[in-house]
Amino acid sequence: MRLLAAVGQDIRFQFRHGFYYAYAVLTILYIIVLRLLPDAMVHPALTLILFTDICALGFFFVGAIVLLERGQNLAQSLFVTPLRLHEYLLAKIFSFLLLSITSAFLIMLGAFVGGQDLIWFIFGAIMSTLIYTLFGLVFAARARHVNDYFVKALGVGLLISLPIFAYLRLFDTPIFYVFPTRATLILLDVLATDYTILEKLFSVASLLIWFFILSGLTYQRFDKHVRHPA
Amino acid sequence: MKTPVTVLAQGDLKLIVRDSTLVMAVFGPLAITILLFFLPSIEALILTRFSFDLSPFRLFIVSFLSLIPGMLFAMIYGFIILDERDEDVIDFISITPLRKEGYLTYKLIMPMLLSAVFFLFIIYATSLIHLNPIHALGIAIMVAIEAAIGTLFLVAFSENKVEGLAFSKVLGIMYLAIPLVFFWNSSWHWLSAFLPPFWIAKAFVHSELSSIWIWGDFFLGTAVHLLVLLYFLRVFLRKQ
Repeated sequence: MRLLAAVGQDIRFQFRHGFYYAYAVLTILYIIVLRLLPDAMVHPALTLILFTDICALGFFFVGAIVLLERGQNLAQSLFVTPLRLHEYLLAKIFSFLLLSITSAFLIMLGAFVGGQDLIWFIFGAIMSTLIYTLFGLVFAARARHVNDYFVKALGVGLLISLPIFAYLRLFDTPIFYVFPTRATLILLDVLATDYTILEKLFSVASLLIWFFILSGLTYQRFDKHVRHPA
Repeated sequence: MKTPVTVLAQGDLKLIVRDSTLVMAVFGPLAITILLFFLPSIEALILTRFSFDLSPFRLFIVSFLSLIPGMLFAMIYGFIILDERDEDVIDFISITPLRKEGYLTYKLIMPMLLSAVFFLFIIYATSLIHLNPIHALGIAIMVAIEAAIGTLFLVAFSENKVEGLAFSKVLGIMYLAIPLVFFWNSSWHWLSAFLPPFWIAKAFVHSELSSIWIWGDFFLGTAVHLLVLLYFLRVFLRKQ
């Protein structure tokens, strides 16, 4: 119940700060762009839109939210209530998940995209959103202001996005398979390209492992820097 | 003697260096310069791999990418202002001799200067397209005003940095005018003439064609830029 209330509060917060309006506009624009593109380019464009924007929006926004809350000394007040740290973090993650998935779903409906591998695709989109938001939270825990957050988060963001080169078939190396983004790009592309079952299972495993690593790291850093600041 | 501007610039520099914002401020535009530097090799690679000739799109790619540093500088200064407003720094400055007007002037001139300089640097350091220096200067003026527009857009409509971030996503839509000018072969593309980058794209096209219409682009483009700037300025000042 407490978790539900926290998720509801985070969604209300995002709505009040215009996230839903911004993404309503962007969703419509993306649908228009996808409808105008030649058929052969729709799937690659959709994958890139989801990869760079829709699934990554938590990464982009969560830092500013945590910073604003810290600026208003919300954390101190929040953690004397019965709300647990994991509930606080889950609320952030789930609220972004709702925004991402709604937007992704509408884009797919609008662009008439679908296929039999949909279940892999949906799993990929959900896990990617979760992992991106967790990455954002890891950096948000210690950032001092928005630009500071962006430098750190963007630097690492660009680094982990390197497997995009493999997706564009420009450059590939086995090292890319360590990156969570290689798995993300496989699952987001599954509707357009035939991947072997091994590749799909690998991607699922990779995303799950990254999810657990990042969850642990996020919890630890928030516990140290936000709940019990020195 | 220290003028208010040197004090402010020192403060900003300290903020930038301490929090590695400089990395982003320089890294983003520099990354784009490097990308453009390798554009001929990328074109060759794509031609051999996918047998797709990218070179007819070179003018579009250069004009689009040369505007990105301006957007980045606009966002950096927009977020500095939002951060300082959230922490009530602007209220403190408004009772110093600099006053709010001086503060805002300084915070707008910095992104303007940086983006104009970087624009000229990108065009002439990569020399991918041959732009008449007078035309380049005319475009650089619009690029500079556009950076101030971006900064003001973020601070005029948002209450805090979280909303600023949502607005920064919307800001990107403005640059949709560039592909519209280049690829929409219909007079309907004039619908986007109220977006400032529309006129920059037009100027690029007319400069390439050595068309006399480029002077119309400069005149109308600067007028559109100034109108948008003044509107955002009024919204911002009314809100303070």
